[in-house]
Amino acid sequence: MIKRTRILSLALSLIFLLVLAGCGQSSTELEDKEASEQDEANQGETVNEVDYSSITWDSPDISWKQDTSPVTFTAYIDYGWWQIDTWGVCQVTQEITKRTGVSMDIVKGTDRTYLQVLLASGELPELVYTDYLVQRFWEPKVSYPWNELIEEYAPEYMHLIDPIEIVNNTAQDGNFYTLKSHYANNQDWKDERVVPSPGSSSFHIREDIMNEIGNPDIETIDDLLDVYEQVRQKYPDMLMYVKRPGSWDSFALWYGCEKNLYVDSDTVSHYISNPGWFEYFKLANNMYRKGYFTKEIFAYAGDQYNQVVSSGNVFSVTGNAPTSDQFNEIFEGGNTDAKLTPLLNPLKVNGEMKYVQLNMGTGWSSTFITKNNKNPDRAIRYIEFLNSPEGQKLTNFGIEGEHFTLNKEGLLSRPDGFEKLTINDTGIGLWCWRSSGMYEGISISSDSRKDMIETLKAIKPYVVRNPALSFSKPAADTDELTIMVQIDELFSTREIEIITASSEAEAIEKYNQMMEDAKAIGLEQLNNYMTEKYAISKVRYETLLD
Amino acid sequence: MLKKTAFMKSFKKQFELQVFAIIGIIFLIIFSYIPMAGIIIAFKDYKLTSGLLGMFTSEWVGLKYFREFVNDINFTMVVRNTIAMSMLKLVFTFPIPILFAIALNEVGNQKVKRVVQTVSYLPHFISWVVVYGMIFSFFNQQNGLINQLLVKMGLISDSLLFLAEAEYFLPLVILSDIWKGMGWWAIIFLAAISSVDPCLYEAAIVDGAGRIRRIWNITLPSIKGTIIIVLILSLGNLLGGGLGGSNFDQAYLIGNKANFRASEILQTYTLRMGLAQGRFAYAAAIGLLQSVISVILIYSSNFFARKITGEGL
Repeated sequence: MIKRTRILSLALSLIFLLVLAGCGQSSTELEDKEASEQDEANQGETVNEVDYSSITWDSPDISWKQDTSPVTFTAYIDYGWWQIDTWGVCQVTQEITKRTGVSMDIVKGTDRTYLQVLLASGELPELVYTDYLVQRFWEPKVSYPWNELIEEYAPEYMHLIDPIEIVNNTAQDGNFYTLKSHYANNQDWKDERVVPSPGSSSFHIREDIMNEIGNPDIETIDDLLDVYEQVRQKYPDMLMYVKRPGSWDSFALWYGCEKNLYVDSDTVSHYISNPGWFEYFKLANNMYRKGYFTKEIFAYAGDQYNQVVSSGNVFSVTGNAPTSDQFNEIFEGGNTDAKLTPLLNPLKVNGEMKYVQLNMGTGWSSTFITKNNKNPDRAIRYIEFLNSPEGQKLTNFGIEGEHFTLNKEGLLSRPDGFEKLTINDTGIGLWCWRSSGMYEGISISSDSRKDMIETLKAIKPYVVRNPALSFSKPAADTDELTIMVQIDELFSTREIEIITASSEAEAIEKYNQMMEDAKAIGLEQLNNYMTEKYAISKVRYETLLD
Repeated sequence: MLKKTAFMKSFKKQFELQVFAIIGIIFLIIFSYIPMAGIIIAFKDYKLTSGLLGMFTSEWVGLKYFREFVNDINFTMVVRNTIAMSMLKLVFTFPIPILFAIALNEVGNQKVKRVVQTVSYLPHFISWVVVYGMIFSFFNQQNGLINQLLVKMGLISDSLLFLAEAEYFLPLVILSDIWKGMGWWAIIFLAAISSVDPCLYEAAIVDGAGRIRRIWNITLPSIKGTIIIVLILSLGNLLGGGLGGSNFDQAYLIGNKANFRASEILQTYTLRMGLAQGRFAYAAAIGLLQSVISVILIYSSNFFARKITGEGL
């Protein structure tokens, strides 16, 4: 008995020690990594001088085609909503592996803190896909500069990249550590198939109820408020308005207020400085006091918002572009007698059109090849594949012939039965980490969700593109970034207090207090910083475009 | 030499037990003491990209982050909310498991007792995320069950904003914490009650003591030691949420932008303004402040417990 207990104790100790050992990175692993880095350096020296300018995406000599042996990368996807977190379960990832040899062990982030912890501990996976505080990765200690990898392992790729895209992503040290995805250059933007992001805020109203009250014209905010009154007469218990968490309030957008940078000629400021908020808050407060919405709408998370809108007891919604299609499907499935439709025209304020959508137009998400990557040569060539028309078609549209064919209009024709496939089956639209806005636009414009497409097309004329602004935002680990975060936080809590104030006088008082507090936090310092940065990057872009 | 041999003999005799103790000590050293070295980043200009070594190589900035936090416009609100939430939870949730355990002990029917005990501790295993889903279904203004019930009963004319008004946040927090933790923590007190010598009760019955008298004069004094130890441990984790340590989960889930005046606490603020921004030094400074308050609380409560009752840790 004693012997058995002793063995058990020793076994437990052993397990404990093994667990501890597992917490650290073994020295052998580190040695392997160093050896592999040395190999890569040696390999780089053997690259020959060739004229790459004649190589096109279709060339058989293109680098990504040179080695398609199996290779697996560890990858971190910093998006909690990402639908697939296992490589090889969907058709697109299977096809990528077939064509390039690349597969991935994926870790999907559940919150924004996790990647920061990985960064601090030096435990970053080989590839990181994120749009959050990306400048922390613009460091030679953290990530490989793409320009260096391209020069060594895929020299022709440099000639295939849009030079403006490089400017959009160049760090202060002159390197570029990523090229953001979904970038559309000016020429692409002019193509009618290229539309703003489906995540754009948009306004949707109940078509069935509008029909009941005779479809009155809605051109201005006052028209809409008149409609609210008519609907309330008919449906006294109905909630007139709900805003999707995370979306920018349509009413604020109609007042020219975005939660983006505020640009007034050459001055760039935090959005709180936009004087339009004052009038918007007075309107929103008035709407709240009239009972068009309740304070509880600010307490909703995504699930609760879905639950409330799906109940059919909501007349109008600020959501994103697919909102009408999404809820109409739910209404149909649940036999709820309701139908949403997007309000395509932005509403005027006092006869004036103030609506604007500022777009920095430099792209969305960044892929980083971290210093922990054991095969940076394959990683940059994989990026090259994703950037190629072949890669973009595969990741954005699916497998040609099986999932799509391109029709005369340059849009996608989907085969019969395609609508039965889910994103988990196909993986279409997920793995386009080097997609351009053009390919994304074709994919969106070919979507069966017609309301979404109409909404995005209606937003497009109001989009103002200004890439120089993307360099105005404070960099990571600066005092100005701290100020910006604190003012964002101040605004997000105080706006609710202003809107839900018991009188207009109280709302104004709370607004003034918010502005005082923003000044105390350092609004002026932040605005000066951004204006200075903007002046520099504006000159840079102007020179380039000349 | 003789002493050493005796020590080895005694160690060999207790070998199996010592192995467990040593594992525990190693665990504590590795996961609790060594990480304490990281506290220094609260006083340094630490940047994430400098990695683990950066904790030691980055520049000293003294009390910069402490000053930043204390001068933050939300400082008073966040500290006040943390203390209010913690104190109220201690006052309301700490005695409930004791009362519940005593009541359960008085139930004569063993089957009923077992069923009640099982049903009462099951909520402990439900995650706070699920609990919040239930809270939303019960308390939301649009179609929440409680609001509908109160309106139907004529107690209120309009639905109440349980989830959005700051004034309802603390009652929701306390009630949900009681519901979730009462049965689980009662197990400790039931165990303490079961170790009371039955002869004491028999003697009290012979002396004519009623049920309340027996509880007051036998049960409560007998479990006094357990109550004090659990109380001291709860006070040690007071700012974390006492017994269940649930302050963060509750504030994060039940709290929102609409009720932030009551729901923003140190832990959620640290997460949003520190960790999520990768400002680990700032987060460490707030965490250190919180730990200092907790250490003061645990030592002072232990001191007073010894003074008043003669028992403590």
